[in-house]
Amino acid sequence: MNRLDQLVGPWAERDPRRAAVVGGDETLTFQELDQLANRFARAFLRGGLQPGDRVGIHLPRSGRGLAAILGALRAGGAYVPLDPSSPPARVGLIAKDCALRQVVISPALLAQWAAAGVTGPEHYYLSQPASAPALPAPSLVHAFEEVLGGDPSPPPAPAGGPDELAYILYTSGSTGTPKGVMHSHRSALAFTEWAADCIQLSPADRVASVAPFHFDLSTFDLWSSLSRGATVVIVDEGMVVSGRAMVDRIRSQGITVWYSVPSAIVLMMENGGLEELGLPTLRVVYFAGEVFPVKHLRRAMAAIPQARFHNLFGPTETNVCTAYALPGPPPAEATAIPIGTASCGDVALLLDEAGKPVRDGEVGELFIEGPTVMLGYWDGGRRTPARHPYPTGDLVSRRADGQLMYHGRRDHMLKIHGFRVEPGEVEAAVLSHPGVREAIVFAHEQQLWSVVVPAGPELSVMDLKRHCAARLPRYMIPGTIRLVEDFPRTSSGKIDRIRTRAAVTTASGTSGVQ
Amino acid sequence: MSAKDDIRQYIVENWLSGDGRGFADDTDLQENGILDSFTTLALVAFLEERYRIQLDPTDVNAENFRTVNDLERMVEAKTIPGNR
Repeated sequence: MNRLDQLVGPWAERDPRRAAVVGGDETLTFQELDQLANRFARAFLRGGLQPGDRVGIHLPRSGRGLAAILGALRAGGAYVPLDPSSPPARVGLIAKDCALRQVVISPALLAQWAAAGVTGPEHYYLSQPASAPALPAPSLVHAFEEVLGGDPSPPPAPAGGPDELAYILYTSGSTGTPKGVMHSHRSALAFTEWAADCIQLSPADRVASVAPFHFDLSTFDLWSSLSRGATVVIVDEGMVVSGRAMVDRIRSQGITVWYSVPSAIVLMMENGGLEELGLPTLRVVYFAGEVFPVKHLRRAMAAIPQARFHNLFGPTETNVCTAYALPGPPPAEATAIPIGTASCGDVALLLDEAGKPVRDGEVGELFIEGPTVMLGYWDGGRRTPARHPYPTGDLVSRRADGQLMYHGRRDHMLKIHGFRVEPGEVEAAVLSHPGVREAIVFAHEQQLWSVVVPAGPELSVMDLKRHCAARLPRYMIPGTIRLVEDFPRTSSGKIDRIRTRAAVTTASGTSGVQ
Repeated sequence: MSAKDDIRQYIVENWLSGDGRGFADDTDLQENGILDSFTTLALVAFLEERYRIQLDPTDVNAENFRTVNDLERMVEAKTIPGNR
């Protein structure tokens, strides 16, 4: 098995009627998933898909979405998951950047594209029965029934091997536009097979799909599960906003393996009753994407005492590259837990500014060499190969016992509830409002803040919220926007970010920077 | 103060830095980037405490949380005696 599209077939043959994906309103067996994937693959091939072509996946997380993803790979293409909560303008930028010619899309999202005038792809495949909006030629909208009516047998196997592009995940870009991270079948499997082995994932497992498909955590949910014949249980977007809905889903679906950002677990404790109810079916909790505060981690481990907790670490560019299986709850006085040691066959190097290895206890930049490293960036239609070893931008030290400890970023990248945000991209969006003269963006207490000097008195906070909402995904819209008359400056006249930040985060209400 | 004024004031103070210009009772809270999953939670906590109501996961949906008008309607329906 060396390509992602080969993972499902054997299970469809061995145990065709077992549930592969349980969605909100639809369950697909392994046979149904396998056949629907073939139908999608054949539709893409009829649409003229060439090896390596990108197929957009733009619909709420569902079994159909997974079948479409699998179909894109079986046709010899690559998939590009698009965020259903992103404004159409940003989705349009991505569609253009990677030259999407075919997209599987929900009728509601296609209506958004049409209303916003987003164009580019030639073939749109609806993910459910609906009357199709008319699009200007040469665009073609294909009814869901057309896909469903197709031949369910496998199309000719793709000629490409494991080093072909499998997917592109777009993350926030520091230059103001989203940036695509390219992974091959091989680099994806290096992580997903390791993660399945690590917890001995089996057909008896029911694995939650919590992370959006465009978020790298989803590769475990999908590919590790399907590889081992486990059932993927969708915890859909509507549930992820409510701790109680997530707790109910885990309990009612008998979920055994959970992988999410720590924020989602904290949410289940804060308003989901996790600590009162417990989650007796969970045997594994993987978490990643942000620091799990020790205080909350101890609560979670006490509330789910039978589960083994693992801290997984790595930027989208390297999947997961280090891991730490907690031997037990960390002591209350601990300030942080390790990110562990190199995983998935990777090698972790800690280097100083001059590229020399640092000594134990000293902080250096984490460089990763090994099979999980991405192919490279897809940016502006050009492929830039990954640097080797790959510089993660993460500052890390090695303890005497070999465990790695995380100390933050060496650049400006922020994490908001596990989503990575380049302040430069948010600043570019804020600055593009004609009423803004200057603006900066930073994170404070898990929230994005923007401090803005308006060009005139008309600009309101509401104007800026609306402007950002039309350009940025929801998690990148500043939660707090402060309008100020001017920024404090450094001696060279540059915005003094440190003083600005200190002034606005300690001031209350609308009082600006004085 | 009516529930509507109360909810509007809470939103303006917490998420618009006190700047209520351009914000109305029919402003779409989701499309305009005011409510996301975490601000929704804070709003749920505020409504539950302020009006002594219990919101179920099914109450927290796009229809009830679209505008200040919708929020007021939901709060009123929840505070009618015998309807909690």
